Amino acid sequence: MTERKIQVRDVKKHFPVDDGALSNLFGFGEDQSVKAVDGVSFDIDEGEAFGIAGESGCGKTTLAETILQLEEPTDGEITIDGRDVTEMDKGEINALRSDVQIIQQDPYQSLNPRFTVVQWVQEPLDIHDIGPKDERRETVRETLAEVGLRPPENYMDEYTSELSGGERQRVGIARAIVSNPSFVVCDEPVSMLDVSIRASILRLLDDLRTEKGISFMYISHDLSLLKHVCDRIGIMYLGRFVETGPSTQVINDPQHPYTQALVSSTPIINPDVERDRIELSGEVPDPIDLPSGCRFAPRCPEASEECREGEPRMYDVAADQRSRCILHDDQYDLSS
Amino acid sequence: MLEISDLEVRYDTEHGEVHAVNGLSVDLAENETLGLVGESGCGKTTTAKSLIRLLESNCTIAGGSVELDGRDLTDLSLKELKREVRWSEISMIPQNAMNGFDPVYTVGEQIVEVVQAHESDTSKGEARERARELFEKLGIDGDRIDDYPHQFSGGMAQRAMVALALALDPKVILADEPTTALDVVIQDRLLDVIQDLQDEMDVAMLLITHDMSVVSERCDNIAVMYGGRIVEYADAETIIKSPRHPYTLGLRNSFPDITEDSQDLISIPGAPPTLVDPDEMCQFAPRCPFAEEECWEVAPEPVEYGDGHRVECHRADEVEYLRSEAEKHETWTELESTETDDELTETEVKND
Repeated sequence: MTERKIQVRDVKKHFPVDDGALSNLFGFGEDQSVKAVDGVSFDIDEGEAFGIAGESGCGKTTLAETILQLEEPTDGEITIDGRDVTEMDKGEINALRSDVQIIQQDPYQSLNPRFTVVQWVQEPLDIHDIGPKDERRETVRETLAEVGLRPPENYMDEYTSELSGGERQRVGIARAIVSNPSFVVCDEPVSMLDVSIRASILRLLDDLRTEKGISFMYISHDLSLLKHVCDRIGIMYLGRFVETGPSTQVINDPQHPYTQALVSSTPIINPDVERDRIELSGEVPDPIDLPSGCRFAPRCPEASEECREGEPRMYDVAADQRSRCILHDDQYDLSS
Repeated sequence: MLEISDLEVRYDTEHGEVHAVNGLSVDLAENETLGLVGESGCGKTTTAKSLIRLLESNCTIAGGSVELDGRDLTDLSLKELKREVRWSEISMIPQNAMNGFDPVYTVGEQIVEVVQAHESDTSKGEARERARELFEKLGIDGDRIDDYPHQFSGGMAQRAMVALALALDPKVILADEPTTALDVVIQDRLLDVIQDLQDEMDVAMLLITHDMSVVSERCDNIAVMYGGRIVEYADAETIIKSPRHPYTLGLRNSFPDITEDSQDLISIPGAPPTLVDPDEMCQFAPRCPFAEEECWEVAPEPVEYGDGHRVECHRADEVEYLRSEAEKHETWTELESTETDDELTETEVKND
């Protein structure tokens, strides 16, 4: 039986909007906030890969930052290994930082060009004081070999700016795993890399998952990629999940109209498969001024009056697959 | 209509002469969409920019010709080219529209400026009217021509860039990763709009992208570029379904297919060549799992395989073998590990 690694319950992250000095002074500005994450719940098991998909501005990166405690949640509960991180003190959060790591999107900007590879990868060990000082260089050497930078001696004293994109991303992965974390967040880990080398990075991450039992959370707008690497996914729209489930099932048989539209907008390389395309009107609305009722209703090709009345709950639509749409309601089906 | 023959473009750098485009030949017919695919650094953007000479100061066209309706553009002075070709005959949509517009002028003002620079007898009012019409065709409210670039969302700005590119009714649009920065829903709609307008206005397009699924769906023909040359060229379906060049096979098999449930994605080991004073050989040989002695010594000549399918590979005849082997990721990783073994032995030798 695998253990539950991360448990996220109704997490919210709202950012206050600054109306400017005058409104603050005279108090006539409304209390507004950007509801970047607005009630998200999910679990990730040990050694599981969970994917979060959605368009830019849907809140997926803010959600990751909140889970990593880089942002304090406005509300909700985040437990890692059964411990609520929102109630941890500074020391505990610091200890958590070595156990929970992130691999960032841009290997050209996320690495400090003034560091050599060994300095950059060793830094987390120094910060968290992991292992005896004189053994850390050796730990780095082993980690570099593990992420495919072989022989590691050739890379250790290079400056990160001298490496290719793929090598840099491997250095980023080495830094993330050197402290032996049990949970790693990957924010678009290959989108800046050439297609021809992406698979090797994804394979490396997947090997780390199966061999070390690391739990992964992938964030991406690329459904083909998430289907390829994730066990389960959640489709996010305006700060909430609209559909969750096993990735193959959600993408092969999407139930929520938004997921259906996303899947149908993804180009298909196979010329024998004709896409059944669903047109979406408009763009993602402003997360300050959320539509009443279902958040997707203003763009939804299937929306009716009832959709604007109240926000639908998540409905069980298949084994482990849930969708937030009133169309799944039996009563609604009867009345229509 | 557009005929590029033996094009050579070189960068003069401190490391030597970079042969970024190294004898490239391809044609573009009226209203055709040609996809140009390849990794970063393969020369695809340089090729497009050299057609309208948007080149950096250390970069020159060293040979070959670019004929548009029979007129060789490489013979024109930069001044003539700017006046008679850029925007009016061949226009360009850059990857990021925000960088293509000047932030201190409204989008309408910038379109009017481009129109009037080329058509001295068009009044400001007429030019504005044309901009409005194009906006409407692209699905943007015509009144928004008076907005500044920062007032547009990413997708809208990219549409406005398309309006600018079409304002002078050109024959060819060069689109350099026009939708890469956009979300999938917006990307899909923008490509639809471009395709509709392309048909309506009878414009040809050179679509530069790394996205094999986009070229598969949107292009008539596909040119696969590697090391400054087109290593394989055919109609889109042939390139996707029955390619012959090992590089095309590699690219094809590295791209995830959303309709597949389980895939053995491959990675092409190594890195693209720097093309500094390149040797006479197949430029892909160092990364090719099928390279033989000949590949390291002789640059392959293009071979025709019917219906305009053109391949530059010494082993293109062994296509069945290449295709079945290229599907397995071990074929590509074994190459990587043999290379590493060699390096290891070298270090060991040094240590001894």
